[in-house]
Amino acid sequence: MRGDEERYRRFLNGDDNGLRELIDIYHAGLTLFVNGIVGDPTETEDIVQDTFVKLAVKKPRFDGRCSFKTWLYTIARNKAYNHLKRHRARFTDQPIDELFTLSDGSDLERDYLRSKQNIAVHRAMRELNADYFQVLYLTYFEGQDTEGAAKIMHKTKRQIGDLLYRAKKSLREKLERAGFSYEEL
Amino acid sequence: MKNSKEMADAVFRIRDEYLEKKRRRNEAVKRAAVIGVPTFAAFALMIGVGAVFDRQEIIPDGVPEAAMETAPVSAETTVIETTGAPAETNALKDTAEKSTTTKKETMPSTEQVIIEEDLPETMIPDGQSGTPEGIFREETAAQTTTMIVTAAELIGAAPENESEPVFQPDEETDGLPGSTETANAAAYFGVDEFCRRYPTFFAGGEYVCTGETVTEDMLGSVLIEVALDDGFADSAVVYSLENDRIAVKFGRTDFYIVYKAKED
Repeated sequence: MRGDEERYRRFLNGDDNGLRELIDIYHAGLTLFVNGIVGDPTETEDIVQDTFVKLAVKKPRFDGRCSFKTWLYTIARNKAYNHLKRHRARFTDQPIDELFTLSDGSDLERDYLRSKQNIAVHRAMRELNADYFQVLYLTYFEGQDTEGAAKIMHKTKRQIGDLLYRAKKSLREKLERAGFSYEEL
Repeated sequence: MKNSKEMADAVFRIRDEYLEKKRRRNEAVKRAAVIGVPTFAAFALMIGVGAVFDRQEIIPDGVPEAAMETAPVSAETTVIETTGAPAETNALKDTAEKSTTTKKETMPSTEQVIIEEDLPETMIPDGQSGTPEGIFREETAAQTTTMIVTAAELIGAAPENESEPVFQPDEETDGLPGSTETANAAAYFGVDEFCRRYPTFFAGGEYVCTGETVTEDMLGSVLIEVALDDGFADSAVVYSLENDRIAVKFGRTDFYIVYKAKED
C-alpha cells in the first residue's frame, strides 16, 4: 500500500487529487466498517466524511509504523466510538436493501462486496455485536492481518485471535439459521 | 448516501471554509494587534508618566510645602551679589558683628521664600515687626537677585569697632524725616527700635544713602533687610521710584531712601 502513502504525501505537498484518490479508494470500505459500529447509515456518512475532513484540515502526520489503510481505519473507528459516546447507537428502520444506496443509484454494499455470498455474510455480520463485526470485517473484507486488526481495534494480537474465533462461531450459527452452510463460505 | 466524488467535494468545501475562517480570524487578530498594541503602549505610558509625577509630588517629612514649591530659589541657592568691599561678601556670616541690608530683586511671578532656619542668626525676625514666623515670603513681579550691603555702606553712618552706640540723637532735629542723622539712627538701632525711640518717625522718614543709583528695576523688586547686633531686624520692599528717591516699607512704616552720588 505504498501507493496510499504516496497519495497522502502528494496531498500534504498541495495536490488535492491525492486526497481525492484516497477518498475514492476508501470511501466504500470505511462506510461499511463504520456502519457496523454505529448502525446508522446517515451517521456513518458523517463519520466517514469527518475522517477525511480531518485528513484535509488537520493534516495529521503518518509515521509509517503501520499501513496507511490500518492508520485510516483506526482514525475512522476512533471517530465512530467518539460519536457513540455522545449519541446512543441508533439502528434505522430503513429496509436493509436501501441502506447503502448511493446518490448516483449504485449500491455501495453490492459494488464493494461484489458477490452475493459476501453480501449475505456482511448482512449476517451486521447482526453480531460490534467487536465481532469489526474483527470479521477487517479480517475477511479488508484483508487486515491479526496485527493490523489489533492496532485498529486497540487490542492485542491474542485478543484478536480469541475474538476472531468467537466471532466465526457466532457468525456460523447465524448463517446456518439463515440457510447457509458455513463451510461453503 | 453520497458517492465518493460527492464526499470528496464536501470534504474540500469544508476544508476551504475552515481555512477561510482561519484566515479571517488571523486578520482580525492582526488588526487588533496593530490597533491594540500602540493604544495599550500609549495608555501604559500615560499611566507610567502619571505615576512618576505622583511620585515627585511627595513632600519629604519636615520640609515646608512652601519650601518645596520654591526649592530652586530657596535661601540656600539664591545668588548673592555683594556690593562694597570684598570682605563684605560674607555679610550673611558676619551679620553677628555688623548690621546688614539685603536687597533682593525677584523675577516676575516668582515666589521668594526665605526660611527662618536658612537665614543667618541675626536675620531671624524679632517678633515685633510682624514678619511671619521664620519665613519671609514675598511675591513680586521682577527677577530675583539678592544684594547684600551693609547698612553702614548703604547709609554711610554705621560705626565700626565700637561697643557702645555712638549715635547721639540731635535734640533739635529729633529724627525729623529727611535728616541724615535720622537715617543713621535708623540704620544703627534698627527700624522698629528706632521708631520706638523716635515716635515721630512713624509718620515716615527719609534715609539718605550714597553710592547707589536708582534704577527702574528696583521698583517692586528690591528687598531691603536690616539686621542689627541686638537682634532687631526688619525688611522692606521698594514700591515706588521718584527720580533718585525710592519708597520703602519697613514693617508697618513707610520710609524713603534718597540715593545720592557718593562723595569722594
